[in-house]
Amino acid sequence: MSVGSVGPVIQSGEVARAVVAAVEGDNAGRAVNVVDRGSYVRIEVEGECVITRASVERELGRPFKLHELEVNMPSFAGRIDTSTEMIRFYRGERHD
Amino acid sequence: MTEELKPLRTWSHLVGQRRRPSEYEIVSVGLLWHARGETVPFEVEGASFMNDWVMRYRDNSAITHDDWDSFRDPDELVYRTYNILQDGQESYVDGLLDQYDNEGHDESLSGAWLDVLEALYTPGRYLVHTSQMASAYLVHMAPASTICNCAAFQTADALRWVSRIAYRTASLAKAHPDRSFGESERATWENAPAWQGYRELMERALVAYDWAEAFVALNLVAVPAISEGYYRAMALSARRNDDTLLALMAEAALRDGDRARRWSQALVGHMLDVESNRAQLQEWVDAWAPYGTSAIEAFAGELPDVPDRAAAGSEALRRAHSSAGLATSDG
Amino acid sequence: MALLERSEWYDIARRTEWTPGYVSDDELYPEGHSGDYDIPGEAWSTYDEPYKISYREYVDIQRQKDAGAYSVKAALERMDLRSKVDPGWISTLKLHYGAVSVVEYNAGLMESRFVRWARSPGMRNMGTFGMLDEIRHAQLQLFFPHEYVPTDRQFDWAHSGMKSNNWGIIAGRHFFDDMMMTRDAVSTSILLNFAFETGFTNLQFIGLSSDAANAGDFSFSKLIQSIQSDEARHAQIGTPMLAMMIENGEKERAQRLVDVAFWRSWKLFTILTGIPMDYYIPLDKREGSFKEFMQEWIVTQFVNSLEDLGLAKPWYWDIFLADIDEHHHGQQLGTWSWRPTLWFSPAAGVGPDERDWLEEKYPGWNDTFGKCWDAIIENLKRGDIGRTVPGTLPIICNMSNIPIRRTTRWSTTGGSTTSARSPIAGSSSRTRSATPPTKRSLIACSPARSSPPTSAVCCSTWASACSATAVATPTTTSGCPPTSRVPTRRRRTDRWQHSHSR
Ligand SMILES: [Fe+2]
Ligand SMILES: [Fe+2]
Repeated sequence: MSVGSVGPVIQSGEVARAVVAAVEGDNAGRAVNVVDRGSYVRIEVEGECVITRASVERELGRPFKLHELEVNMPSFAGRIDTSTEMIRFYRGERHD
Repeated sequence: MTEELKPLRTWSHLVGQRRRPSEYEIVSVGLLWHARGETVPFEVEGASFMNDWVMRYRDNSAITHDDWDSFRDPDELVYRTYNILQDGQESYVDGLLDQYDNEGHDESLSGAWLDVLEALYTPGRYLVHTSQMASAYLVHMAPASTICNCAAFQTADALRWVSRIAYRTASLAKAHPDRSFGESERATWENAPAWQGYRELMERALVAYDWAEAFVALNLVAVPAISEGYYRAMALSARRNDDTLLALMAEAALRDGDRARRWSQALVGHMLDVESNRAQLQEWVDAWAPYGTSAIEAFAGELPDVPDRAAAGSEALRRAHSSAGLATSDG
Repeated sequence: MALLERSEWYDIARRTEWTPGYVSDDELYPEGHSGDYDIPGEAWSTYDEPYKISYREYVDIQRQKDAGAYSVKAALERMDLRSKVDPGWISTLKLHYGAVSVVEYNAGLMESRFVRWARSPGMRNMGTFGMLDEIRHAQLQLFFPHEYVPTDRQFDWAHSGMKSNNWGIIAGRHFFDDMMMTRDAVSTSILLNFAFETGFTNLQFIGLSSDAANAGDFSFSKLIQSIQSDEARHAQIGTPMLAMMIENGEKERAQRLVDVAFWRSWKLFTILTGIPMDYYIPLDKREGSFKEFMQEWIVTQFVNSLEDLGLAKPWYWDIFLADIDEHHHGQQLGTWSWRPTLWFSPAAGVGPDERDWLEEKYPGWNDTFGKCWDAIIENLKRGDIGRTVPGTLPIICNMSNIPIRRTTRWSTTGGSTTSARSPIAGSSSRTRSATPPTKRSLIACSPARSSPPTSAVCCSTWASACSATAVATPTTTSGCPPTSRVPTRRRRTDRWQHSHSR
């Protein structure tokens, strides 16, 4: 993985595919890099990575509560911010 | 160089048992390496704070048993079944909240009852949180993993109700923004006379460091006192004041309290395998029960329309002690 | 449903701090449990756990996770996995379960200390979930290996191992007693949640899952990733604490805690993860080398988060980087040579193809560790098994409790970094022993030589059983950088107790 990039690590499978697509939609304008490691994929976005519930639901084609992402997310890079509509991975801003 | 050992049908420590071990036994028994009878519990210098603490308050407790690991949870709960059980229970509570919300429940409550909720219901998250903390103490201080597990699920049950009380507090604040829901609870918990019995009981229970005394204070006195006063008396009063939602929620909480009672009684029974433990247990029950009785009386005495609940609650506490095989505190 | 969102009530549920009126603050939060950090009273309530979950969500999600993990196992039970997979993979499983299952349970006890002693209500609530998580991990990792016990006695170590006085277990127990069981809640959240959990556990629980899937053990692959999904959440208990320490002038102590935990974790994982990944896993099943996984999870991901929070890399960073190339190779030589002391049958993993792979991943391997294996292989070819088993014991690091090893190549390239500086000595009342100065006297990696007179530990059974002296392990007498407390019962005669082979 590259320095400065953040984002989730997802267990390979249906949810991983949906999250990759959701990340690409939710982070337009940022380069999204996906590393396939067999049993897991590492999704990397430079600086900040946002995942919205709406996008995951659209990609999965079914209702999805964002906290269900936890079932398939064994790790993540960066800091995390969780709410019901959005999960955000980010680098700390030292002066906020 | 190596000896040939025959395969076993189960863990070596369970092979002596005639019955096929259950899932519960396979995953729950004998998991504390620091309670394996060495001179100091932890693999660090003997003079360390934690070694001293655990030796003093666990290994040298006045309550002794030569086989703590033989204790079994009467419910034989494992993590997997705990979640199945509580997910179902939480779905039930969600259903209640949804239904009553649709019926405009919070808006329909009387002003007098809202006063009661402010004074006696929503500050309860402080009370239940103290039992969460005190239960967690038993998790890391009990001498057998089968005891730790019971205490761990009890800790989680407490967080369950802290969360539901917080939920209801937010709901009531939304429906009645002119009131002090969500604002005044800490001051009420710290100052209102109705709460001081509970607060004194819980604060003292939290600093009862001997693990067995902590168990007596919490599980034989505080948890039953919370059940009888905060939940049972409250449920009755709520029903008589058209707050069926609270009555049903409090009764759901009592189900968790019943499970606590079952393992508490089983543990007292286990402790009473050793006859010399009886006098010490009795001494602690006698010392702690008055705090429980005062707490119930101070609290239930202020609930409307349940004039007999203070006495009934104290009586229930006494019954809990006699059914655990101990004498009642003032008899 | 017209239910409130979690965010509408969540803050109320973690506003549970009160001022005790019937007991003193010191009794309620004794320093030894709650920490002596110079953080003002009001600051504790600013602790904001970043990875939030409610009880309601928790029991739902965890039920789903368990349904997944247990159903994979049920489906696989019908096929006899063990007869179909490589023995190297079986050894990996035995090492894993023996070192992990019961530790997980006691991590639950650690989390329960947060619930009782942490001054931040948010941390007490997150600790409650963490406690449950670790009980889950213990129960899953006892339930799964229990199935193998009737056909293979060595799996009994999943349950009984941690109570033994096997040398590897003593090392592990001392690590966990030191990092997890005996420090105050604040320090523990940095040592264990931040350094150990957000860092090193990923190597074993995610890195190894790829190899597991490749090896055909889907049950284990799913299991450990599912476990790690809990870790990802509760590991975040340490992060806000770290931020709070830095904000309140405790940065230096925070850094020191990270330095200590990082070094100790590294040493532990060279054996737990490094050896299986680079030697036990069949060559065609390896997703990557241990070094590559270290680069991904530690050198990049963990260090990014460390620096993002405002801390620096540990002061011994150069030593550590050099160590990544070497340390676990030495431990593999050692554990394989002293194989009668293990509770599993180690694979050597040094056939011609494996050696090509090792040389490619670790250039120079053939000229150093390879030479040691040449001698072992020579002895084996001659049928001289006795000469492949050392008759003496290795020098054990006084802190990590594992054999000390180093090659001459390393000592010259990394020589400038062997300073005797200690990040801990004299700075904290809680850590008492200072680093012993590192020595430079090196034993060359020579197959003709026997190992030097070793540590005080000795086992008469062992010594009389093995009279051979061919020892190939490159050992030195150098110390380890960050020191910590020493274990109590190091000098036991039963320390090198023999394991039980089938
Ligand atoms: Fe764990
Ligand atoms: Fe953990």
